[in-house]
Amino acid sequence: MSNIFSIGLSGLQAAQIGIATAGQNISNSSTAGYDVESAVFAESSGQYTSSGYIGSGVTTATVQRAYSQYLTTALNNAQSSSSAITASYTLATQLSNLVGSPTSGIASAITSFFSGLQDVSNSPDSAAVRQTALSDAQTLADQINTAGQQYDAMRQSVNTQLTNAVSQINTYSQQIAQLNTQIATASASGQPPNQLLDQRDQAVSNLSQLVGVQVVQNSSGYSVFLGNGQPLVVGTQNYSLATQPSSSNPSELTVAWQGLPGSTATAQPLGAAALQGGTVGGLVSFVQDTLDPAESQLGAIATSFAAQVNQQNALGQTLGGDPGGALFTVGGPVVTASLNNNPSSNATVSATLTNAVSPPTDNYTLSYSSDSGGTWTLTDTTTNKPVAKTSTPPSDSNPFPPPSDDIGLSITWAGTMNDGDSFAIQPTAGALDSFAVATSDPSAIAAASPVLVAAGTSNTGSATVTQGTVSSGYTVSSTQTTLSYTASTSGTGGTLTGFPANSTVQVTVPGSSTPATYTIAADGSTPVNYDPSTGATITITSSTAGDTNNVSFTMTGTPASGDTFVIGQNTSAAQDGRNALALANLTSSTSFAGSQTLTNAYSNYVNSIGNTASQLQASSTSQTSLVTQLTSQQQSVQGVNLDEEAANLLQYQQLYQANSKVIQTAASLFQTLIGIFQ
Amino acid sequence: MRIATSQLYSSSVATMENQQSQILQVEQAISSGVAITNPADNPLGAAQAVQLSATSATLSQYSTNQSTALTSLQLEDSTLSSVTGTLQSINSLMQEAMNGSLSDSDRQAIAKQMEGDRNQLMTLANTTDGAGNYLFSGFQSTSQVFTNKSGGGVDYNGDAGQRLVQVSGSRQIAVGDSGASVFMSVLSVGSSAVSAGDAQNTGTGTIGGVTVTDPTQPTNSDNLKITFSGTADSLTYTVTDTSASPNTNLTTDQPYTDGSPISLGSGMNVTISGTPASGDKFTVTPATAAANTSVFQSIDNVISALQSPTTGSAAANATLTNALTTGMTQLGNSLSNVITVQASVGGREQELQALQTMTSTNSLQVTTSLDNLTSTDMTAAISQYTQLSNALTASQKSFAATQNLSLFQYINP
Repeated sequence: MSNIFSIGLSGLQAAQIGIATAGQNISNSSTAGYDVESAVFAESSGQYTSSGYIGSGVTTATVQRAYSQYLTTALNNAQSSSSAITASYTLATQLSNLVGSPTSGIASAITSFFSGLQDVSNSPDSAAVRQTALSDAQTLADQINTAGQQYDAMRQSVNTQLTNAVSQINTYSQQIAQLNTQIATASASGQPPNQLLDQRDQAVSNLSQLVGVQVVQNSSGYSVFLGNGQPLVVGTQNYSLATQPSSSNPSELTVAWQGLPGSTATAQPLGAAALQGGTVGGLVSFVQDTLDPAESQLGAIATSFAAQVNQQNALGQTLGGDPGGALFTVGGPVVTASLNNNPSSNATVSATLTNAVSPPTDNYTLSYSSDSGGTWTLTDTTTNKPVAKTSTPPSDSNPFPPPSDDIGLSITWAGTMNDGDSFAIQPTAGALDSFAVATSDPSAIAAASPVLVAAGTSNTGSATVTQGTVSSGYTVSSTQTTLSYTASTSGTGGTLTGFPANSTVQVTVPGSSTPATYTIAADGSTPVNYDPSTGATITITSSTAGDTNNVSFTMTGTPASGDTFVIGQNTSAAQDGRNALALANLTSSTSFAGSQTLTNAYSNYVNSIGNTASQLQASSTSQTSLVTQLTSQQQSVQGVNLDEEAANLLQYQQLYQANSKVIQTAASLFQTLIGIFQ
Repeated sequence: MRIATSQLYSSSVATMENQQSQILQVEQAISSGVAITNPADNPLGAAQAVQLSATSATLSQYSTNQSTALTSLQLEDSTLSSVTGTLQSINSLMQEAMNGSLSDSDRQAIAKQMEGDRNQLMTLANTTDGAGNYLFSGFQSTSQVFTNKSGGGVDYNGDAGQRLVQVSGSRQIAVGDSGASVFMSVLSVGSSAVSAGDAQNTGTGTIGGVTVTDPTQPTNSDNLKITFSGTADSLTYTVTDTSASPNTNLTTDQPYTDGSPISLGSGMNVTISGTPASGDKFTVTPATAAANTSVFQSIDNVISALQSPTTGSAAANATLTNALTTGMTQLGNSLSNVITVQASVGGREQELQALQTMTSTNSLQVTTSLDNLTSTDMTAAISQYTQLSNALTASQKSFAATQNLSLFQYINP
């Protein structure tokens, strides 16, 4: 009889535990990281009687949580990738917004500046038109500076996000290590501490949204490792990450592995390979793959623009009649010594652009190794490929990198380096912030050309000459050069005489690339052949200071004997807009990156940013849907279904009622038995 | 499959949020009319838009340049028309002065009239454009272009520069011509050699125009001199080429017949009539010689000749006639030079007008392409908007229906 009571009682207890578990599930149905629990009932062991083994009710073996390690790991990995892409995408969208409408911004400012110069060439002596062109220049400079500031702000925002993420990673690592300890203690009783297990899984899930990790489960709990195997948690010990300025760009932070919390040892910087996935991975890859290249690209456009305009302006003559100076200033390559350099190193490294019109867009690192008597290696950090190597410091005759490995940079250094020292070289990174208009004087626009070539007014032949051009390093002598023509007595050609003494004259016939060269004798009498049937471009060079140098003009048509052509300085030529026109025509110059106009280059820049943002958007969408699918799979195992719990409630309620009935029956039996004696 | 209840809510909410963000995007595109607000919307389209908007700006600059150039050329064209008119008026005054029956005072009157025309010509040569810049000054702008020289003629204070304006991608057109090329030069081909009588002549010989018989002869562009010698009964003349030193005689001591052509080398001849005195000299110089090219100098010479009294002196009359012959030849050469310059200006105007049509067509095409690329396609956007809002309504309705399905609803307490 007592057996029946105890069986009924065990059933009541089981029903209560079942109802409690269902209640727990219902109450936690919206709790993040909660895994659905179920009471596991087992039959109590039977008692031997001669009638066989009689059962002794039910026992509750344990309360088990539903957990699929496979699905949880898959979901964590997917979320890790997803948050990496989301972090990159958010920043790429910001960058794309920064570029803004493709029909306004820097491209249209460049076009306006060149249009303004066309107006200058049409009215070279109008101060108002020149002032407008200069204002256009200022607008462009403002836009480029603003872009530079926005890049700086984005870098700052990345740095802040990295710092926050690293501090959260450290918090979660510490939590996991502590939970490992608590779980080990709590499990000693033999029952799993479901609540602690849920918390630890949740911590791992949060951690993997910050950085991609590998979780290894063993007897001492979860061990967590970064992509390259650096540990964050091993058993009950956690390890810290830290942020520190990047050796290649001090304005950027990199993540480093510090070891035991509070350790004073130098933190080891972690590369992109170690930091894959999670917000941190997304930030690191955004900076490396999108932000830095885009800034370099825009910096290269700004550098090239300034160089092209300055070079052409130098070939002109200002309203005051002086040779043109620079209209824009822009900073040169930035060289930064690594923070990890040996403190006793006193070397200084400098870099200059060899061709500022077409500057390199990659970044470089010069590193020194004391192996085999000292070797300097230049590495392209954008592509991670070595560029050049040398064992002798460079000199004028032996530049570094050598011409065979030309990258558009010339690097020199002095002082002592120690093994392992490195120097980061950013050719155009500073260009955006340092871009400025060099003058506020509208007359500094060199609209006129310094030379004027003209045919004599009493010429009787049909020959015409162009007005003349100069090239870099020119001089136009203050004494006019008068050339006179003598027709050949035999044949069709003729000769020009009167070139400056001791100069060199090159005559290039259209369609030919090899000029005929004449060295003019000291008495200036050397005749230079001219063929009226082809016409020719004539270039005068001279190494004597003050003599006409690097001046050319083209002659076409047939001069008559005695015809004269005068080459002279273009003095007080306020109405001359030839050089302004040449400046304006830089808009179609394809000297950037070998074959691009500045507009092309800018449209490539816009295109690459747009592509990055829209690719990331697509990846983000597909990764999000993967996460959604995996979440519903994982939740289908581990989540709470309220209908199920409603059914469980009813089931356990009925179980409770039925067991009560068993006890009531037992009691009634007992009453019946007692009644016998009455 | 077993579904976690919380998943029902979160996935419905995520779907609706996603739909709302898409609706917002389409709504923005519709309300702003802009399809590409940043490059991520359409990377390739954004790159094309950069190029197209640069092209569009360049074309509109070309169009501005074309108008500027056309305005300058039209001003030059009308100025040159006035110059031609003035020169023609001077030419007819010279014709009038040739009339032998005029008195000294008649010629004084003609000289006065000619001075008026000459001043008008000076004003035209110093014409300025709207910005106060001289039309015919080359690259110079500060000083007055043409200033009178003492003793007749003018100084040209400009230079040989010619301003170029970029009027299309590959064409720079010259606006304006230098004053030297308009007023101080003559055409090298088609101009007549200038014949003149020496002012010191004492005879009554008058020289006529030069006739070219063989234009290929090199002596045609040389300075030639005809010198008379002998007595009144047997006058002879010698033709000397004075271009090269030493001078060479082309013909020596030929007998002179009144009114018969005198050969100048083998390419030209000239007629001298009347009776020159021994020692009288006549010259024939090429049209392009420095003394013959300045139109102002030519006019001034004629004016000064008209102002000298000739009454009663046959020699003075002959000198005046010679001066008028010289002046008319020079003026004719200058006039055809001005007309040629004007024709070239007219040609450039026509070219510009053709370019204007072409540029505006191109500009229209580029603007249309740019619009197609960067403006919202309203039909597509509105239909997409409708589609998205229908989908959102459906999501909301199905969510409302789904969240109602709970077993707890049916368990009575």
